[in-house]
Amino acid sequence: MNRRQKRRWEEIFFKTVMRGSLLLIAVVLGLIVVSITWKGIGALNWQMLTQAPQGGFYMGKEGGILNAITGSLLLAVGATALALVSALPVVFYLHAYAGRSRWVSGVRLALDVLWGIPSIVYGAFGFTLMLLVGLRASLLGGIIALTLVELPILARTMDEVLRMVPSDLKEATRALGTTRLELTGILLRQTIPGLVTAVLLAFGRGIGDAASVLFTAGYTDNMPQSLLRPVASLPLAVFFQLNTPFPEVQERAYASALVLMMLVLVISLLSRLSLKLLGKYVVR
Amino acid sequence: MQETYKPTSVLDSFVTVGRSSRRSVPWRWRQWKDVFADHSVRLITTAVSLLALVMGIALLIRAWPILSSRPLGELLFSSTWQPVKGYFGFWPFIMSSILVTLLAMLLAVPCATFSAIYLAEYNHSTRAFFKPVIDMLASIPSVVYGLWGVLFVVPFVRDVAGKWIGETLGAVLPFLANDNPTGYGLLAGGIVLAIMVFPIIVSVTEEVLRSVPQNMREASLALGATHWETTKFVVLRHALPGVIAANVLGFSRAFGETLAVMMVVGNVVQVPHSLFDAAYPLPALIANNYGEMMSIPMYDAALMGAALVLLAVVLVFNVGAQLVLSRLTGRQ
Amino acid sequence: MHNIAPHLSIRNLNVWLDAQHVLKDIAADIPRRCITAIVGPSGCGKTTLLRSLNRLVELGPNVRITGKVLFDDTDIYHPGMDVAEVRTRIGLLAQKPFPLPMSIYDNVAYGPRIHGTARTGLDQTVHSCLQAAQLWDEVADRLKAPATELSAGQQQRLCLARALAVKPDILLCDESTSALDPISARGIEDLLLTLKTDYTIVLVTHDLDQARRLADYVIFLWLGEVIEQGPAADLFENPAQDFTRAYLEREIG
Repeated sequence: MNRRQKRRWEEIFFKTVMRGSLLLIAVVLGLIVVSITWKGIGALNWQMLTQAPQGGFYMGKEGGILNAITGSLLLAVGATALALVSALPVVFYLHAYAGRSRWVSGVRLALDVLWGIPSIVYGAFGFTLMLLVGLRASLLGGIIALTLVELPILARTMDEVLRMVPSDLKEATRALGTTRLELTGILLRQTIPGLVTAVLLAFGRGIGDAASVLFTAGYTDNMPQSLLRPVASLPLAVFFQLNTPFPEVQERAYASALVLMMLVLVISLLSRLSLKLLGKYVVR
Repeated sequence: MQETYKPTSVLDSFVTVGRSSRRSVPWRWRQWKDVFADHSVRLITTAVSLLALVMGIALLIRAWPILSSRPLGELLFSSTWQPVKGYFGFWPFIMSSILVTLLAMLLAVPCATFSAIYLAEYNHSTRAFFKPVIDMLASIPSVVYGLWGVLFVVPFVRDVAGKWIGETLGAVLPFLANDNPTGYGLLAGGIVLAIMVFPIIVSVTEEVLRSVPQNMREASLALGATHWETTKFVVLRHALPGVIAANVLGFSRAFGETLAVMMVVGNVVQVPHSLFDAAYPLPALIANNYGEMMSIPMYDAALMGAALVLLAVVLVFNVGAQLVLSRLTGRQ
Repeated sequence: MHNIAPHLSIRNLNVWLDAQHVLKDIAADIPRRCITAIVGPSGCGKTTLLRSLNRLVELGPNVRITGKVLFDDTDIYHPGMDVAEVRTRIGLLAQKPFPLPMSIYDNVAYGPRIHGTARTGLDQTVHSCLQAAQLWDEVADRLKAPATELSAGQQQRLCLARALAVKPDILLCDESTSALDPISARGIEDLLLTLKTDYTIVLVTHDLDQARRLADYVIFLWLGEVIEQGPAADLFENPAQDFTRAYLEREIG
């Protein structure tokens, strides 16, 4: 084989390897979605979606996963709202108040690092906070821990979206005599689809996160009752009910996993769609 | 709205709108809001930026009882874990974490790097299809991966991989010996983790590769190099720090991953010696025992210490990787 | 001089970038061992034309190309053609110097290495190419230093040496002096004049004075079409088209 053929074969070989890698990963995703759906779809029925488990702790054979669905929604909505409230000032700072300060890159670095911290650490920290104020495992505790998980995601994604706005626009707006606060308001309104993407992304992460709510929100077979009582959540519903010896309870785990996965995939698709809108109508 | 207040020179400097700096013109309500917002925004940003530090200190305080009562060497390198008797040796957990993470990286890195190269360098039209696939993989919750691992990976390891490799190579190579009939162990954990870190490695690597100037590629192609040669000798070489950073990020993500691993890794306190042995990583230790940690002396301090170790490892890796990435891709 | 067979001949070349029809039915001949200048106002497709001569143009997204470019009577766009081979024989000196992320020596040795030239001759090749690019004296004592340490003018000469090292037949120059200071630019020009005894050189430039100094043959491009082409003396002194005259007298463009 001469040099030229060898080079051509090397090219073809590595191209095949790359295609193989991508194909493998697509197949794995397909496998995950199909097998979770396969297991879950059999367990899914009207009763499953509309009732909380009936009977004893982890043992009641009747009922469904409504407690986990509502619990998860409450946790994720609460945490996303709180995270939004605390992420907005950070984004305001980065884009209007910091100016050319070198703190900007420091703040971004801090957010990126926070994004990478494992959620079990947030859980442990949240638990420590709760001990400090005498709070027990509860909806409120779970919301606080999840807020910490979602905060860097929200702040950093919104930040990236706002960075897509040309700086000419910012300067032109400032030149009209708007204050920095008003400028940020204008920027945010300009980039609403991007912000929706950020919120959806954080919400999706929040609703699927298990390790942070494990200590802080607890688990219960009952429907959520108050901010200060434990709540069930979909990820923990999968985790706890999978290992029971009762097939009926295991079914609930499969159903929870399917509901959770579908929720998250739909959210992921929606956020993609929203980002596309941003590119099309708003920025540039 | 008529204001009679005359701004001091300090406050004046916060207001950049030209007109208001003339003292004769009264401040308007909207400028007040702006200054108020300035202060609160700075305060909150500072708080958020220091959050990692605060978490570290809080965990350190909570772990202090155990850190101050035993030599650090014993805590980190002793293999005796008997909380009831007061022995807390983290070595089995640390080794389990490292091994399962390394295994995951071993499986994920080649596949992820080749995928990223293909998406960034070769075929831009496949990107439209694979970007959503990778996003979806990234968005699937940990517990779903765990369940999939239990349903799919564990039986595969138990009935196929474990049996074949254990009976053939395992007889010769001790690290492939299989005396764990359950399937729950390092390999299952590694496979599940590999799939979980795949998206982050791909997307960061791809971003890094895209930041390589197009002219650099053209310079190589114009010399008659093939696409792969250009990638290998020029693009990867130029982007090497970033590619390493992407993998470090993947490593630290895998290191802290909790539920999915815990559901398939077996959770036996031991230093695993074979690919098929059960392991017990640090996050699983914390998650499995939080319930009883208040009832045994020092147990809570030990678990918070484990969280502190996790946080420290992840912080070091993340800060390093992010600094490299920000310099390379100009993200910050 | 120009009655021998052309080295490259472009036949009905059309290029679309996205939906934009950038090159329209280009037909032109590029004579052997001469400097051919492609001139025209900016945005007229000069660079696209040059980049379609070694198939770099197809790297962009959404590119469509029709027509032929005959290189010694072989169409470089023929489906069975090895693109790497085309680019080996038709080299490029880009607008801005872009050294590869490696040492000075490795930059020059890059081409010969991937093409599998004998290892023993490598030092000799690097030496002669750096000498041909008149860079040897300045870098002889630091061949292992990163190429990015050189000045812009030196980098451009390094890129030239790098291009020569793969022994091309044709050298394409894309405004290769425009990013340089006047002295370095003049240095490159002088080099090109000496190189034309061995190479066919195609030069894109918006600098008419440079074209006058260097070119033997000129192609005038306007909005993606060839308006006029011919020996430099004829075209500059006595253009056949009013358009060309107007451009040369700097009324348009």
